[in-house]
Amino acid sequence: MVQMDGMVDEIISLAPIEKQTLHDQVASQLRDLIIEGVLEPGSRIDETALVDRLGVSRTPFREALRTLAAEGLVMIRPSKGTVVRRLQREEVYSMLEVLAEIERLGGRLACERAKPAEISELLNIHDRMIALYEARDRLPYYKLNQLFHSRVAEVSRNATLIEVQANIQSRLKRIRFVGNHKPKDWADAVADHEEMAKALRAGDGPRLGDVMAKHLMRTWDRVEDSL
Amino acid sequence: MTITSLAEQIANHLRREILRGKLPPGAPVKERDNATDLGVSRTPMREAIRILAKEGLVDLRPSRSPLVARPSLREVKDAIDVLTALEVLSGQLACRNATLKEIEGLRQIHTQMSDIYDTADPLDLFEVDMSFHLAIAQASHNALLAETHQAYLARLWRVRYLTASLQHNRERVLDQHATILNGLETRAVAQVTAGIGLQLDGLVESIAQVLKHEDESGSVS
Repeated sequence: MVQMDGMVDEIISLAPIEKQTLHDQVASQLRDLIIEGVLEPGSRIDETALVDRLGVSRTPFREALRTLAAEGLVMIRPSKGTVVRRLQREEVYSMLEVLAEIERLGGRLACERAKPAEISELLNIHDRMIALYEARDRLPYYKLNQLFHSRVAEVSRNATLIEVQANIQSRLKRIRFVGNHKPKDWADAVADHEEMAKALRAGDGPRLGDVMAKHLMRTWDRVEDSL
Repeated sequence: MTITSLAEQIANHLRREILRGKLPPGAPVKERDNATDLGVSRTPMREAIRILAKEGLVDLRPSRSPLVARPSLREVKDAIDVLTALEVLSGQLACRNATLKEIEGLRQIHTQMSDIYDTADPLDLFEVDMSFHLAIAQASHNALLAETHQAYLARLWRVRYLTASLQHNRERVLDQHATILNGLETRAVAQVTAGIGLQLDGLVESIAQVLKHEDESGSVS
């Protein structure tokens, strides 16, 4: 981009906002394709076909790929193209180990800082999750589960924590989506969530943090077989 | 030389200029001027600025020169809370996973720091100090943890450098490093996490002082 100074600068400085949004939209669409497995782990990203399908030009597309690379979802190999990243067992374990500590802190801060309405909202998400569990409606349950963890991080009101949590959760999305849920595993996860709700109702931050950390380390046992 | 390594060298140079206050918070980092001064082309310069933006040291602005970041105390506090959690986890995992060679490496950093403490350039000393923390995260044998720790430590680089210079206290820093190191050698988790806690304890207060002082002395706005 050409650097300009002076008054012209003031006038044109409005333009790039739109471009930023476009780049975000492309990144978001590509992210979904990876999570849902349309773009398979290990496969090469066909830039020409996707640019065509999304109806965008190459510049925002490549920027979007850089964003996804930063999130750890794809790997950009100079002059060899971009591939969807396949997570190794060790990487998934590492991520859950870090996420456990981040959510421990998040749970503690959430109880200290969340407004009563935000606690109610979290409990409402929880109740909806339980209803979906009882109906064995897996996909919407999965989505609300992700939302619950994101919202706890958000109400911690720690910008760094929100960023780290979102970053790791996004890398794990695909794994948790395909995670081979056996009925017992699902029941155990729901039991953990009941504990979280109990701690939230009691406003017990350290307890909520502990339960969330344990829950994530148990998630390893639940996804291990699918790796 | 590849563009990447040249860009990294330029980023190192600019980072040190920022830490030394030659480029104070709020100052524009002019791509063209800096490229001319350093005798490099604008492509690696742009890449270097991107590296610094990722570290949170500069804020990019559309169609204008990026500015040296001026994080608020709130942002810094948030980052320290997270960094503390990451360092404590690093210590716990390093107790379990660090190899003898890695512990020996930490011992060498500690000795080096002790040797140069009274004579070294403050910025050089600070870099050795931070390399101790980075090495502990590496010794956790959790790659994501090491990577995340490094990224967020980078964001706090400037304020930590300023507080380290302010609290130039040989005994305090070296004692804390020794506590952590001995704890790792004997695989004593409680001792390691206590040592790490001491290091980060009081950091928020010191940083509050530094930022207040900076606001009052009115650096570039």
